[in-house]
Amino acid sequence: MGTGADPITRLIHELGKLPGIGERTATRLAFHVMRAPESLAQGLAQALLDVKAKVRLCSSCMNLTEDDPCALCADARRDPGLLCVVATPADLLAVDRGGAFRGRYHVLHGVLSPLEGIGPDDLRIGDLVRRLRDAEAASGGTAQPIREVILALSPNVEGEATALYLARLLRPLGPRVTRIASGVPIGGELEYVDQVTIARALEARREV
Amino acid sequence: MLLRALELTAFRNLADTVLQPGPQLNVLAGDNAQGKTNLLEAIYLLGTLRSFRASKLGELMRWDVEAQGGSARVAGRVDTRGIERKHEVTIQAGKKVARLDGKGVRSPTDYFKWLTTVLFTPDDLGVLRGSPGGRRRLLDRAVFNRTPAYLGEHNDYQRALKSRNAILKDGGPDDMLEIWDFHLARYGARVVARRLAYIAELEPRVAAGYEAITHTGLRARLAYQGLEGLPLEASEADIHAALVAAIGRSRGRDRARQFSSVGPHADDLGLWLDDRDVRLYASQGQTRALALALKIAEIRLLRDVHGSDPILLLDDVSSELDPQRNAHLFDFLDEVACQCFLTTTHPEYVRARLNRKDYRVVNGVIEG
Repeated sequence: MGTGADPITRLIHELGKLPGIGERTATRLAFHVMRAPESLAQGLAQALLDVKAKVRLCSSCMNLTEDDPCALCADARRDPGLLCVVATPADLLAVDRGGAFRGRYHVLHGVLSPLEGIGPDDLRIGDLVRRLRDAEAASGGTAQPIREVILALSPNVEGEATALYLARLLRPLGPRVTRIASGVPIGGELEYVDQVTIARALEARREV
Repeated sequence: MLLRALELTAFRNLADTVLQPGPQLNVLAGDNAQGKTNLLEAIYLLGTLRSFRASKLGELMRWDVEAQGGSARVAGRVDTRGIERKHEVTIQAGKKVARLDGKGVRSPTDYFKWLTTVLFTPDDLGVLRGSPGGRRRLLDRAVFNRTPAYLGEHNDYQRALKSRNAILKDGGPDDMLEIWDFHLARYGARVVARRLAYIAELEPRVAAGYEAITHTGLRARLAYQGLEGLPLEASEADIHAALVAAIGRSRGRDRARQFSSVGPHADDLGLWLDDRDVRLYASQGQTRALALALKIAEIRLLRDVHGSDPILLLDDVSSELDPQRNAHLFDFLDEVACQCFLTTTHPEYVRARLNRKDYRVVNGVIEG
């Protein structure tokens, strides 16, 4: 379908390329835009263009940002000695939304996946190592100012493999390397938790 | 467990229908290629979310509906210890969606615990003397029925295995291979531990079952054949350590072959009668008796550990068994009296004394 198609068909086609949007949803959205005031179309179009023109990666944490360094890296109240490693910007938002973590972040932009041909060089792992080395050099080379790296990766096969790879890579650089716990969700009923999660939660039990 | 009602829409060649099966024996009679096995397949799909013979989901849809981009649906009301739940599988555009009581299923394990099906087909009779792959599938299906969480654990292992093979194929660096060695051993240890635990539970029941069928005094024995010298009671940590060592030793060979040679994907279920290896030396009669004993043992084990009966799906098994083995099978069905769906071309030979409901399947139409 080229640019020769009528505008409605083109809009449906373009919307349909977005993840999670099938033809029916795309059609509904396109007709909604048609009926709505022109300001909606203009706002949407501008936002779409801005996201590509203005958003880039923060040179420190690799999160998506308009300013470099990003607001999280520039926030002096955040502890620079704690570094939380996440797979995606969406994961970063999920961790930060809770407000319990007041350190800095590093976004990998994916996890190791031999099945999809994603190796260490395809991720922001080199930048992470450089960040730790730079921190050490800036402190005079005596101690690692980043005390702890927390790996907040999903507990699936690829996430676990990435965590193990990073732990081996980063420990020699000095920081303590930890992994977020996995187990029973707060507010969940034990009887509805699946067996694998129960087993994990038992492994990671704590003194009360 | 009881399947109280079964609703089929655009499934295989079957005409859309709603059935109210009987609580015990349901005999599906008809000539070959009329759709008898399709009905078993529908119930199996409802219980396992898989087919036991289709390689593509689209095959499960009636061809005219598939051509129009429509959907197929199997739904069943299942009564488990007095609790009735509605299981539902919809297939559309190459995807299947499972629902329990009309709601999407978050964890497949939650779905599976309400409905267990045990399938027995003529293929199971040949498996014992066939390739190790067939015996692994037989074992894995049974372990899944015993412990539904095994499905996810087995999938994780497969993913780790494929990942390691991809590294081997690309000639990836040693530090990456080490990561996947570790994961192969870790997920592999869980799979092996489940299989060992299952074999330990099953073996005495198989031995008793074989003796009850044959009265020969030969002792049927099972063993897991994977890592050398691993005892049946080995813990997951022991297995993990043994796998780590074995995978480490195989690395050079694996690099050369670009394939992982060690792990549960290469293991086998060993079967003996006294000291004779069934896979090599058993007669056809012995093999069939043992296959029957294995299925009966599986059903008895599920009753004992789940406290409810599985639903049995027997696909034309009688035609492959001699009269004596058939008599034993029907005596067993009489004894356990659980709900059973049995296909046959000769309903008059089905001699179980159970409460029985007969259906005829003619050209996709099921007549009660």
